[in-house]
Amino acid sequence: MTNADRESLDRLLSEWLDEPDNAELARRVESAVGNDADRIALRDQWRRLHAALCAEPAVDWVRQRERIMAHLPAAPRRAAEIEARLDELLGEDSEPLAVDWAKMKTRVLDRLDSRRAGPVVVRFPAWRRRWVGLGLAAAAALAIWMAPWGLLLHGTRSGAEPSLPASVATLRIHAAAMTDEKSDAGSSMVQIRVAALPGADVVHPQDEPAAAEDWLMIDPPAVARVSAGEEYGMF
Amino acid sequence: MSITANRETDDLSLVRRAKRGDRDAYGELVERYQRRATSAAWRLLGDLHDATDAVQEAFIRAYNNLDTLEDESRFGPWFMRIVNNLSLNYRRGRAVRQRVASLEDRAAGDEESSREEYAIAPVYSGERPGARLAAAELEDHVQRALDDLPEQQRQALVLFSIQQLPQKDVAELLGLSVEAVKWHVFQARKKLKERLAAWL
Repeated sequence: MTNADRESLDRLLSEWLDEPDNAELARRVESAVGNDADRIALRDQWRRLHAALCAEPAVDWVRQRERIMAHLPAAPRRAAEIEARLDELLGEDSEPLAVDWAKMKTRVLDRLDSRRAGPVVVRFPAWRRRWVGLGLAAAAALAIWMAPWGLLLHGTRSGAEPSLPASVATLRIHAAAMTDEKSDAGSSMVQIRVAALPGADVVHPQDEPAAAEDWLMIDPPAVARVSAGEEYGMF
Repeated sequence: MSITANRETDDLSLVRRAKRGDRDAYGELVERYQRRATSAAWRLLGDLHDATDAVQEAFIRAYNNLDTLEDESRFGPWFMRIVNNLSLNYRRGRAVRQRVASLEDRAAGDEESSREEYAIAPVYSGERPGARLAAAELEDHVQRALDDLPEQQRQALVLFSIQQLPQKDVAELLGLSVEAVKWHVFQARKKLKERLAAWL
């Protein structure tokens, strides 16, 4: 039996279990199963599954019925009765609610104030975001370009042999920036991380490896799309 | 006249009598629906004790709200909806209770759950020697497999196969199309069959 045959027979058997009294379905099942041992086994599996699912739990039904009847109120409580009882409870004759209204007002206002004091979102116009993005991109590029020289100068000052330090910048681009032209402000992001390569020589023995620096661009300008092919860029 | 139509006619007169305060008539309805309701609740909850409690509460609620049942011939689907909703509430409530109990147990340094276990032995006809043990084992696996089904598939299967609600009612209850219900029921059965292949 091919997978397609099996799927088709599975569907037919499931339909048959939906309507076990449907003679037409029963006839179709018998015709599809025929004398094939695999198909007969499949039909029997479906039957057993259905029987297992519909098996009744072991409950003393007489006792359960008695228990239910014992818990029933003497007569059904009508919706109208419930309404009347509610009216009675909320009516003018009922006890006034003991509420400290001044305190309640203060609490409500405090709650409103705390909601107002939520995270502040500052939105800049698009042109300003573009310029800020460009500025950050330029600063990041400069930092990456300067990083080896900065270490080189440091090495010269300390009298050590100038060596070309190994440092690495990883560029991480948030996928939304690449795919969604009309994404909301703040949904695009470029993250540039500058760090020494693990195991790279440290220029001065007393110096600890420089801590990694993160440069973040929110809503980067189009120039960032040059690197869009990869989530991570290394240069 | 079909069995369903007969049952609806009978339900109609029983509901009308029960509405007038005839407890015996309501007792007939309890007799008629308690097995199906308990089986369904048991499948949804996986615990017989919770299932019988949920069904008892469902019968009491139904009794108190009989006057809101507009189509008196449709007591069955209406009542089964109450059972379904209450079972789901029990299920959610139980999850919360278990989390609280677990925290309390941990606080008391007691790792073992204090929850009482109920033996569930389904009724199978034509028992052979050893059949009860095999049936209990199968039952355990069926319940676990059901618990692992996605919520909508489990509900569709229980409402349709065990509660025997018409597909139209199941669709309405779950906010799905009839075709989607058929698909969920088929998928649920198929997953169960694959999962339980060794025991079937």
